[in-house]
Amino acid sequence: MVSTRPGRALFFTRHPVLPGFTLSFGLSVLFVSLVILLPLTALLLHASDMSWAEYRSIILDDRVAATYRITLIAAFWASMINAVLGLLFAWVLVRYRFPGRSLMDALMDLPFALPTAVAGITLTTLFAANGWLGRWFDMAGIQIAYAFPGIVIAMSFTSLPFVVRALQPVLEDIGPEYEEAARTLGASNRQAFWHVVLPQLRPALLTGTSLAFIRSLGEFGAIIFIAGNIPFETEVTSLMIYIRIQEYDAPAATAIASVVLLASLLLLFLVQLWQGRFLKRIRGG
Amino acid sequence: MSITLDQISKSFGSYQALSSISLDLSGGDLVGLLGPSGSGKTTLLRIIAGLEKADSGRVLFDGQDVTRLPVQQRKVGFVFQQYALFRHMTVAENVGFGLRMLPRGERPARAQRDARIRELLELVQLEHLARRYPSQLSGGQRQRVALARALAVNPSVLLLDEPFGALDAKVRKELRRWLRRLHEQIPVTSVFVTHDQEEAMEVSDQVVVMSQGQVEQIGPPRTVYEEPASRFVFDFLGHINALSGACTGPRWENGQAWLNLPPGLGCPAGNLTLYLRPHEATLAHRPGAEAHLPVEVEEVSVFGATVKVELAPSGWQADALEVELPRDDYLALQVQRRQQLYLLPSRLQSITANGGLGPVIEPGQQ
Repeated sequence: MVSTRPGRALFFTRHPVLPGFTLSFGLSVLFVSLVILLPLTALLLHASDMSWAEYRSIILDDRVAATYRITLIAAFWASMINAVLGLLFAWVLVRYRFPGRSLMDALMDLPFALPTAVAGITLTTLFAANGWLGRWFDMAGIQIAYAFPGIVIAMSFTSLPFVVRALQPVLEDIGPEYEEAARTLGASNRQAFWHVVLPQLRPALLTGTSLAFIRSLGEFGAIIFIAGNIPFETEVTSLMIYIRIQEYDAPAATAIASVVLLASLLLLFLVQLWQGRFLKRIRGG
Repeated sequence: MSITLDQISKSFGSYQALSSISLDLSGGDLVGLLGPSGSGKTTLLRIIAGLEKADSGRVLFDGQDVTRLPVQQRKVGFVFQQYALFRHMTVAENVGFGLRMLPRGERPARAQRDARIRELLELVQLEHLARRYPSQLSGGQRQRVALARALAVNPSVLLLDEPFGALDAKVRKELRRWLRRLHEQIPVTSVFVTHDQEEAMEVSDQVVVMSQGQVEQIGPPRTVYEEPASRFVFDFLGHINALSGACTGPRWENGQAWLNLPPGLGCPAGNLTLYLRPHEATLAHRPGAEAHLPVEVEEVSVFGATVKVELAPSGWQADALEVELPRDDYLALQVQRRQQLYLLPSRLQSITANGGLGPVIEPGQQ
């Protein structure tokens, strides 16, 4: 029995309002621990076997450092493309009623459902110099498959649903009356979009785009087929981890993986923090 | 600014929302568009604003055809049902939005804009909340911000869609009076949509009663109430008791109940329906010479200046009846539940066989 003064009952000793709290909370904690926290801890433990100097030399190796740059720049462009395309698709899906809308809505999830390797092979065939789309770019002198643009395309393909699915519910929620209100106040359609619609979408757009970015940092399957994997040019970090594993250098692979992991976690927390502040403002509190 | 609607029609797919509506609203009036849901009143308001395009017909402001003018150039203030306040802007930014959207040449300087915002917030008595966000306001406050925002650009017409629909009864009443006073301060032609009869009656200079995409009647509240132009208007404005029965000679009969009809009143098809307003009848311990309507007291509601008595017909067929008595009459009568009384109507509206309004019967006058 935990003795507590009235009004200062500990969270766990308070009588819960909804039934089944103990069981459901216990299961959630178990799941989070087993599936998320435990592997992460193992990874960090593994990496902590080596000395700081070793760790540094592995993660700052020239070839590895080049992959950071390539991955970051490609992920940046991929998420920029997705921010624009995702907004457009979400807008079309929510605001217009047209035949085939539900089919299009279902297809939005395809990049998630499709094995990334399949996506990679398909994109490579399409964008190769003799592919259906690649040949037109080839004529213009632009190489997509086995070059940097290929990485960007593979990344944006696999992460597009993050943006669309983050925006859809918000767009449904804000309805057309906000634009109408802006228009009755003299705003042109463009002004209504920039001053009224976009600011209300900003948190969802930022979350979606950030998730897309984070996902792109770790994308592997789709990229390795299309990238060509030329060291210092088109190698991404996740491939680097794989290469180290292939070389039976597990500690090095773990070290690089921990860098990707830390970067992703850091970004995730930053996004949460920013979004929390914005939502507090518009929801009140 | 006066508003003229000339044969406005609008349909959504196969649904005819408005059929050939023509209306003349004179400048400076506060007009209530009243009708049940689905009567097309909101669609009509949106067509006046330019948010919706009519399939045919013209909209004129002060005689000038604005049918093809986009909403931005019509200079209308529109207050939405759910206010549509911009959630990411403060109250002051919301109110100033219209001024900020003006083209560069016409846009007042920052200081002037701020002064105008302050002036409007004072008008709606919310100057102390200028820096709050809409989510931090109550429903009534949001409504007033929406109104201030609409007034910021000096609209020539103010349109309000169910302005008090989302508020609770008490706030509603306050805001109604406040809107009335505001309209006296700023006499801009205003049109508001409502499905609440009391609201339309209390606030408007002119009431437009609509049903199924058509205008049933236009007029000052009193005229519309006292001289309804159609059965729909009679039915819709205030509670009615419907008494239906058969005619035998100069007498209306239903079971044990009967009424003597004035001479000359036709009784088409042998049946006659009579409408009775709750306040146009009294109760007595014995039947009248012209009316014999036995009733039993079911419920009594003592609230306000009049007392509402719910009655069940005894020995004849009708839905539950409702009568409103002045408090003194009620006390003199010593009404008790389950008591047997007689209904004495003073004024009855007869309904013709085709559903229109027939002559009025005043049993006490004979």
